Amino acid sequence: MRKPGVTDDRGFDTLLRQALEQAVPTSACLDAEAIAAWSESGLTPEEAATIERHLADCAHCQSVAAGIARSAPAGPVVLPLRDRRRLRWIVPLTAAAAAMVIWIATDSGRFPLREDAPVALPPAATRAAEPGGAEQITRAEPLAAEPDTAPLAEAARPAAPAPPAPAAGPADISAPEQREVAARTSGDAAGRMVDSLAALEAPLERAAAPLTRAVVDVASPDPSVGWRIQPDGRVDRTTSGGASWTSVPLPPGTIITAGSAPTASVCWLVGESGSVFVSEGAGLRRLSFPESVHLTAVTAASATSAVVTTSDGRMFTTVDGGTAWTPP
Amino acid sequence: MHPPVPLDRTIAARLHAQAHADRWGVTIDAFQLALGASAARGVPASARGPAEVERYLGSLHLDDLALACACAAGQEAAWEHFVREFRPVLRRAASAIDSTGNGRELADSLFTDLFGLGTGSGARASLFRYFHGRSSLATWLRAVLSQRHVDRVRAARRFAPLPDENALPSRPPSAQEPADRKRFLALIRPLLALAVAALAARDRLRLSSYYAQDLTLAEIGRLLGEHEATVSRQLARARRAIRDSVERQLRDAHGLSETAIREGLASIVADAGSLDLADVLRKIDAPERSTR
Repeated sequence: MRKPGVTDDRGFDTLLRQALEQAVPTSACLDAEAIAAWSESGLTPEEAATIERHLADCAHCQSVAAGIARSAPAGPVVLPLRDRRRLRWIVPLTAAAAAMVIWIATDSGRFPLREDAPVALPPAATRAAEPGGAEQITRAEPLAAEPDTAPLAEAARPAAPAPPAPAAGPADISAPEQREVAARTSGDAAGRMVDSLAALEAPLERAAAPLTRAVVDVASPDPSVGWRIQPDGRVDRTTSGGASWTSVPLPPGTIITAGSAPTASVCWLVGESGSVFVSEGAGLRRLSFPESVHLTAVTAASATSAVVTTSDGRMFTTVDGGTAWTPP
Repeated sequence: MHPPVPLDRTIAARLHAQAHADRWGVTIDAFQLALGASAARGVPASARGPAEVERYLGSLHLDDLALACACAAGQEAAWEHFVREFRPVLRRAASAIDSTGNGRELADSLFTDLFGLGTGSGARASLFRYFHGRSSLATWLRAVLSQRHVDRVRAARRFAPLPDENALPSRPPSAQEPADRKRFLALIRPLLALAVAALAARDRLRLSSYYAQDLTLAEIGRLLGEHEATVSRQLARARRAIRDSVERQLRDAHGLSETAIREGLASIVADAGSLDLADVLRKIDAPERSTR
């Protein structure tokens, strides 16, 4: 197999881009809500597959989905459960891979390219494949953000008061993107090695995390009533001190990670994709949360007051049953 | 417009209570109608059994649906809440979607249509009527913003003035293109289109997100629920598969040498020419079997 060169790689990418930009749909375009629900993993597998098939061939709907992705609050990627299950085989390899990498780095001072180690390359139009290994594609662009201080156009909202909106911060670059930028700008082998190590370890840690998750017991003030969160995110409830359990019906695809029961009849449950529920007796009520982020903890004082923690450590408070959330 | 699915009032009342819809002044009847309209869109007619409809209704973002119902009806308290909670989200999202600096205008025009002043006949026709609770309200708003931005960009392209005929073309007309490159393009484009079409839908979507939509790996990962490193690996794999397939065809079916392929691709860097999709599709239907 010949060694690809920089110039012909760029030529190939140019043609590939042109071919992909010409995607022609074979079915009617999707409505905004369908794309929004798909992006939140809120559809059945069959619905999601149908939408994905359309998106793959429709440049217009791809652009809409791209807008959703660009405007999403920065946060860690949460793998769907099915993907995490698929990655279980990685776990035993984690220690071995890390040990091997350390040995190579310390023993020879060189870091050979690995089949699965991402290597920072120039943007699509200028990248070159690495010889002897699978090329990895990287790109980083900061998300655009601007201060949000001017009042709303009065024509749009004639009667409502307009409290000052929280100012948006500067352009937000996620940690992986910073890694990409650093790797691309440093250009030295040591920098790439560190980046590759970090990128290699990140998915391994992420894949390992759910496997170490145990059943989470959520106790209530009444010893006979409690909830438990299964490792796969399902929730059970007991009213017999654990002698028997009843499954709490959750919407399909919901993965719960934490709970808090301030009374025997109320339990707050939080999980992936900004899922917040209040279980009241045998019923379940879904609350809206301002961001579609991974929620890792909740502390509830009552059916209306709770503090929810996101995976990046921010804490949101509500005192009115989830109607309004006070960000940190 | 699908007629609303008739619902049991007991179920509607239970969901109404779960959504705390009464805090916005939404009646059970109004909420029942909204739930029925949502089910009509979200549950296929062939699967509209009571269990399936109830499962569907249980998966809805009921709080957001109640808020949307109230806002569509012009409830003052609901609007105050909506403006307080969602306006900052909307403006930040609009700025991220429209990088030309018109994000604020994009967000405000959406607010106008959400409020329902756009009909001109005095009747309220709020955009909220298109929200059925299948996603969160925040994500739906971002999707609508994105859709509007895409439509604007496309409309602007349609009305963009044609280039001045007196101005010098930035590249020579196609008739003067080197014959080798012209032939190379004619050969490779249909092969490329075929190789892309042969990929799985998710692979095509991932590639398009990267090459056509210019999303970062992190953004693609968030959209597809994949880790950034997985996106990177899968992109590299799909790209390699396409290239291998195309080059194999160029060698085996068209007799091009390695050098000719490399030089042909290198010639694209300077000028890839414009892509005539109809021409490509025609060649796919009737593949040209010329050899070098």
